[in-house]
Amino acid sequence: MTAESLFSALVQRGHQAEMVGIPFKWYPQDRILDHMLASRLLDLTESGGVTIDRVIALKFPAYLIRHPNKVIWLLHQHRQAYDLWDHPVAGDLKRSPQGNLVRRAITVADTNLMAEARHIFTNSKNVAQRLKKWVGLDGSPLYCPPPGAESFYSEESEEYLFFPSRLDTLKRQLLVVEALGHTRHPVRVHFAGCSTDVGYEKKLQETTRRLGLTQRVRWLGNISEDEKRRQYARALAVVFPPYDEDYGYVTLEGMLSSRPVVTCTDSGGPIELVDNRKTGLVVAPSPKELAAAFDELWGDREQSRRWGERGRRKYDELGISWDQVVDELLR
Amino acid sequence: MKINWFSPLPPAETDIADFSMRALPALAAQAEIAVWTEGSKWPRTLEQHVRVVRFESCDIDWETLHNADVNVYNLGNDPRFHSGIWLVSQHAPGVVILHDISLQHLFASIFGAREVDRATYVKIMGGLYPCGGRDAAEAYWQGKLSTEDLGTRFPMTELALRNALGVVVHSSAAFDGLAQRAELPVCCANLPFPVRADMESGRSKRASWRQQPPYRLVVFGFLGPNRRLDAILDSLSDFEARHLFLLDVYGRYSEAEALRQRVEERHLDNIVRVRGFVSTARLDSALAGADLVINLRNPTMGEASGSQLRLWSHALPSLVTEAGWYAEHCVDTSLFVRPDHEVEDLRTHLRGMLAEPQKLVEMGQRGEERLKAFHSPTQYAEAVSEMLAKNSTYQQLWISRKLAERSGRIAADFLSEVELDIMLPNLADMVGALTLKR
Repeated sequence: MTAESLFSALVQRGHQAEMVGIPFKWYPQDRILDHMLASRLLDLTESGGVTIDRVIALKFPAYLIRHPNKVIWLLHQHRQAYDLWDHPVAGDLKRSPQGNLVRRAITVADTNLMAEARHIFTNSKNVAQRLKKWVGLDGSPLYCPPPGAESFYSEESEEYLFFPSRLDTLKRQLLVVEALGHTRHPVRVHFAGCSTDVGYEKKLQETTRRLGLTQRVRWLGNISEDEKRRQYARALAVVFPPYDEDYGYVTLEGMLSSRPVVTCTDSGGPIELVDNRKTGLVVAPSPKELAAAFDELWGDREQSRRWGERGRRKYDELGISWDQVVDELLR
Repeated sequence: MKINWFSPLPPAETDIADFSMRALPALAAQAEIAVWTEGSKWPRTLEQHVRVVRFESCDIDWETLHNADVNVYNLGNDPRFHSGIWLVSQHAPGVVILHDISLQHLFASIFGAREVDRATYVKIMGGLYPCGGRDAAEAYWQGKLSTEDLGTRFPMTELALRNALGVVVHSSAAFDGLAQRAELPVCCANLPFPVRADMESGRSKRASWRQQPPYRLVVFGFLGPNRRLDAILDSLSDFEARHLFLLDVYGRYSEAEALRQRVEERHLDNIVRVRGFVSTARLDSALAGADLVINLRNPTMGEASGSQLRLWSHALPSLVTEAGWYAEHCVDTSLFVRPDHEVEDLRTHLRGMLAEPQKLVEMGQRGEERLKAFHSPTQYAEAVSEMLAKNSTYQQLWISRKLAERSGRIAADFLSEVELDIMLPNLADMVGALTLKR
């Protein structure tokens, strides 16, 4: 989505741009090395005799491409080699026999070849901090609007919280379901998003049933952009408590819809954007803490409305725009 | 630094288990160590220094394994203790400690365990040794050659090191042989053996030894065919002064009954006793009362001898084969037996013992001094730690080599030799940029 939005923004500004997608298969783990080499072997210095002035690389392993005017706008590195190495679920690299060696290769390649870039931007402070911590390089945070930012709107709120995200362990829908088991009010949550992990989806369903929450939880699945904006517009609040998210469009979409956002202290990108007790709530990642946050928003609708409107004003004040992104990336 | 140390541990009947017990306390002072072992028992005292993890080669917890910085695999020839370790080493590269330079026996046993794997063995031998390897492997399955016959020319050590990050050996001969293969970092460290707490008393006791017959001879260790028991028995059988010696044989011998029969056939049953495998404590007690150890290796598997260090720790003289590590390290501590004159040389040295016993006592004392000077576990731990500290570089070299090999093979699928000559330097640059830290 980000690549497509950037591509559109570049074209709108009158630049000739092409989007180069690089296939990436991360299993078995030694395939990662092949993709790194494949990226490095790409020659994007010119096309049909026309010099390519700039390559903007977004992700691993695309940022390993050679180009004299390479700029990296880092959405994320291969996190399994860094902050997710020890993660009990997402740390697949650590669970493979030669994972430590592949990890070594990734860190060496990142250290050697990201430094070639004219400049490194990141999509959030969180990603910049990771880059500094793990690779020792500086990156400048450069926020971008979510796709279709101008189309979000606000309506009279209804009695549900909205959590749009693919069903994934790192997004922590399970934590939210467990929190519902602790609320004093009959808080309801609408989850939107498709599953990437059948086992996790099953666990969510089982937990919902076990806690007797089937009447308070709605699984909307994959919904259209229109339906998503409608869900945002009518929600009492937005819930987005992922584990160490890079950036997180959901937070911005909630702000654009004038909705307060509930997130967690270890959620990464979202906590850069949510002002605790001003535009939402930032709480510890535990079911009880989240339940208390849900109860507070559910019990005080007026406060929720004020926080949501303040979130919208904050979004406007941040001056997040594709023009700014394009200006910086082409500077 | 955190180390995964793969090794058999006592009571496993191998000197490599004892080696680990000697090395680990000193190494634990330099690094945090998890010992991975297949056995269900180990000395609890070891857990004062290290954590012990039991493993099965078919069910490794890679996540736990990767909590360490480096894996260290102890490889020797006994398939009971090393086939599992070798299998893990093929999945998760690490530093290999070679306890034998020739690992033919290990691999012949691994691939011989199942009929279906024999063809693989023949194929591997043919690949490793285009000149004669395949024929030799087939001759081995047909029973025409033994692993001892194959060991020198076809050591198969390459297979143990195929996935290694680096290798530790215990003799300069082994070091020289491996250092020629420039792609693999090699460290040479003297086998560790701590000075015995009771050494001083043992030594003074030996200095005032009775020095009169009957002299007690000992053979001990893993008693494979290369330990030359038949030659030793032959040297005694018609020996004019055999009644002046007693020989005790300690160690696992696959054909103990046959050995006893051979002793009887030579009418040696009144001077030769086949004791079998005994505990380390009982062995040490036997060595404390011995006068001479016969410690032959023919052919030698090439590496340093833990048995030799043990006998030195008792200030004992020895008769050793004039080959490999022994030829290099036992010059003034032992008497040499030429591989092709075993019976003749053994008798000459036994006569010499009868004539000048004090000479052998002095040799034993020099052995003890050598042990003190060159084989302290602390020195060993420092040498190995220094090597393992470079693990990050070794990992980079390993990845670089693997990626270069794979990409080179793919390129060779569609490029001519001329094109490859042009393209490969560029490919090598790319691989280097990706995998070697600037």
